Amino acid sequence: MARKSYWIYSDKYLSHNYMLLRSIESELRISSITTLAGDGEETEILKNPIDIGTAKSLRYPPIVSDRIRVTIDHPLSDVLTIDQLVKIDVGLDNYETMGTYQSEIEVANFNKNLTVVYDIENTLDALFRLELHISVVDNYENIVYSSIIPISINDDGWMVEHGNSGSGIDLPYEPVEESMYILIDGSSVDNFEVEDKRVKFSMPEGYDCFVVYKPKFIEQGGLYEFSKDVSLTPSYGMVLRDDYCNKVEFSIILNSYNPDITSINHTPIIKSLGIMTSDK
Amino acid sequence: MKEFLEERGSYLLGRKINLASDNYHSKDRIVAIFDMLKTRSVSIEESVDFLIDSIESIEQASENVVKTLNDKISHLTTSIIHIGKLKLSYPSTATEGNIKLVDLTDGTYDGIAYSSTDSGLIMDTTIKTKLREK
Repeated sequence: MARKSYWIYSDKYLSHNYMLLRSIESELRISSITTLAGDGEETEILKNPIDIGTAKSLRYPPIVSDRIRVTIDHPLSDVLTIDQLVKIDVGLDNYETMGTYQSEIEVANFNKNLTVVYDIENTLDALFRLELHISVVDNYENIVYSSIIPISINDDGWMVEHGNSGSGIDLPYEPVEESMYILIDGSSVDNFEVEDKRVKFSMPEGYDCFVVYKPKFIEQGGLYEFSKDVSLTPSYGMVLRDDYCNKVEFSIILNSYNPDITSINHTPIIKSLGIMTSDK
Repeated sequence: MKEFLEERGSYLLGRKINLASDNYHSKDRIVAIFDMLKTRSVSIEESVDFLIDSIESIEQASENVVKTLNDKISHLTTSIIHIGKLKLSYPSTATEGNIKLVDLTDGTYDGIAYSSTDSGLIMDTTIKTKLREK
């Protein structure tokens, strides 16, 4: 493992407090990052070494500088340039309003009751749409059944759907009509029709439209039959059909919507996502 | 010496009085002890009577305690056997927990990035500047 320090530059002095590192070569480890500020003082950005994996970001107090020193540990750092090892972007607080994360597939023991567990900080006005993809397998690794279950991890069970073209949005659950908000580019719209699970309204091409609503089943109580294999409790707990099942393979797709244009410096922080299974 | 001999009678008398006084005090003490024993005997008698009266409920309470302990031991034994069977038939159940989190540092990101500083996923920034070697 060879260690090498590189100086990288921008064309002008920039104010930055965010750095995105995307690896080109695998098994890349960065042991230190410092920046030379306008006053000539070298400031440490990365205090502890990190493995980059696919991509990692760093946040730090705003710094005005035009150059950064990166120390990389990699077997090929003696022969490759930094551009062949890693892409480094810096930015200043002005976060995206939409993002998607798809997890790798994980495996948990089968128990008929399933709950999504999560820890999200700094939520403010952000909304999340979470889809749980599950495949239930038996002792011989055969798939017994699979399902995609939209789950709310917002306060009070609110769900959100997004669209940006067409004449309506299909919802996964029948909504409580009075609870429904339709936002087009941050403005609320009253002119819409609800037909079963479809909301009809005109979406201007290229504008982000959000439908925020409460599903009927969370206000009705009791178990809601989502499919013949999965039922839902009003708090989005799932009850799975037990059919000689042994394991649950699952992955999580999370859509994060951060539509409050007045808080441009805001980002939610998703600290953990997963599932909890129990037999009671 | 002469003086001592003359006064010896009174010395002897005084001593006898002292002895008598000691005896008197001792007698008082003995009487007090007997009185105390009498009182204590009454208390003991009352306590014994109470115990005799309560013997049935005491016996019942003891039986209950023994029964509860037996039940608990039986429950523990059953649980231990059950856990043992589970371990044999479902080894994975015994080794894995019921909570399974996804690895946020691994996966596919679009408009979201894993922040080492925050130990979580954050939104990506809109404006980025690429830094390069000169």
